[in-house]
Amino acid sequence: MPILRVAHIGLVLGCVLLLAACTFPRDPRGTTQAVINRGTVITGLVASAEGLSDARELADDVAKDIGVELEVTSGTAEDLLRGLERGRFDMVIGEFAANSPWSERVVFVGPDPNNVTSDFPTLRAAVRKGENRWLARVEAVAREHS
Amino acid sequence: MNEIPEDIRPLLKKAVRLEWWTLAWQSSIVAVMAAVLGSSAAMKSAWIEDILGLVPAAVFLLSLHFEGKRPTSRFPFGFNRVNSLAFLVSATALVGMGGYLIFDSAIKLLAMEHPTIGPTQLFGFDVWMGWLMVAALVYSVIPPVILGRLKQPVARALQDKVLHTDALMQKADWMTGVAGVFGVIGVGFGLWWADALAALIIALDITHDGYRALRIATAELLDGTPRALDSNDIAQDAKELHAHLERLYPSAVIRMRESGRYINVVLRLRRRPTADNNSESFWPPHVKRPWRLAEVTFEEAAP
Repeated sequence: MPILRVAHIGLVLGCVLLLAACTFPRDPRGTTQAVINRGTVITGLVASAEGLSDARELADDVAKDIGVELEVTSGTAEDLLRGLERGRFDMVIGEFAANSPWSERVVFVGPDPNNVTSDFPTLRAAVRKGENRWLARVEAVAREHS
Repeated sequence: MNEIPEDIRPLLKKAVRLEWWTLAWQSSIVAVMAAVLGSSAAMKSAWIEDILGLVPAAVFLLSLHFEGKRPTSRFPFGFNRVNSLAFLVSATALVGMGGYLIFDSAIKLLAMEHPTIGPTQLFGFDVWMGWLMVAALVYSVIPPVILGRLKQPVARALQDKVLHTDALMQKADWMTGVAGVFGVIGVGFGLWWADALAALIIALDITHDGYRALRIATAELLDGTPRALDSNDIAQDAKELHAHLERLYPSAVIRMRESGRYINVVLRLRRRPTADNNSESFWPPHVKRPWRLAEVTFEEAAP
């Protein structure tokens, strides 16, 4: 019976999707899981933002939200973002403009881009592209933070 | 030929209504898709296909407007071919855009670009944007599939290639939707390549649509023998018309070409027939749609 078969396949697919929905989206490179397994979130803090209490707090909040330790390395934005791209950091925190050229290569999470002038550097967290679960976690914390 | 035959006017009205519905629904789809586009390549391909889906409907309405116009001193053969010209333009757009999207998604696959689909807030809840994309894709599939099915019999009765191609493209739109959903859900599963792969499949479909339309439009603009609606084969009624004319004028050289939905025939004979001929008698009596034959011209062959 083709209709029954289609209904069966539909039901199975529906259940798979429903189950998947709980863990959606996943990270292709598994950043969230790696942070949990490691017990630390490896964070790059841009030197120019080191003096900002907000920057440190944001990093702390992310670590607390996941229930892991925070490990901070400071450096220049260029170095840290390059490191983020290569997977050496889980996130980088600093003051970035929403329309920074780096937004082609990493994802900036932070204050609502509609509320700030796009070329005005604002405190943001950067995460690796495509790590969608991790992005959702950091974004939720950043939203509460701001 | 400058007047639309009485027989097909009610059907044309229906076709016009269906095309206006298409424009309205398709515009709403384009707006919904634009709202959730994000950085998914599959969504971008599906969105562009939806925008291009507006073209055949607009071309049909525009060419119908010209089809009823009387010939002028600057265009003494009338405007039946506006249809073919517009069709060629839209087919070229389809091939061009399809080619670009193939290139774009292939580059994304080769560069192993990981698509980012983040969260968004909906009624105060955090929702993964991918779910909204899936909802938009499902919505984008339903109206075209229904309209496509409704248009097909009308296009056949009207022998309208633009309408027919439009109907076929819309009927096949569910594949675009499914490919898009596969891409977005794949990203949800952490499969970065699913998105670009889905975009590539959609782009191939767009190019295929364009290629098919391009072949049909080219045949018509080069005065090819009338082609069937859904393939590059000679149309069945044209074959029967040829056989019928061969019986009537065994020594004639028969040449047929298509102008829009109409067939024009040139008969080359040693001597021009003296009897008065009305165009009804040229059309084989058992074949439907006698209005297809617009003009029969006699030429005298050089002695």
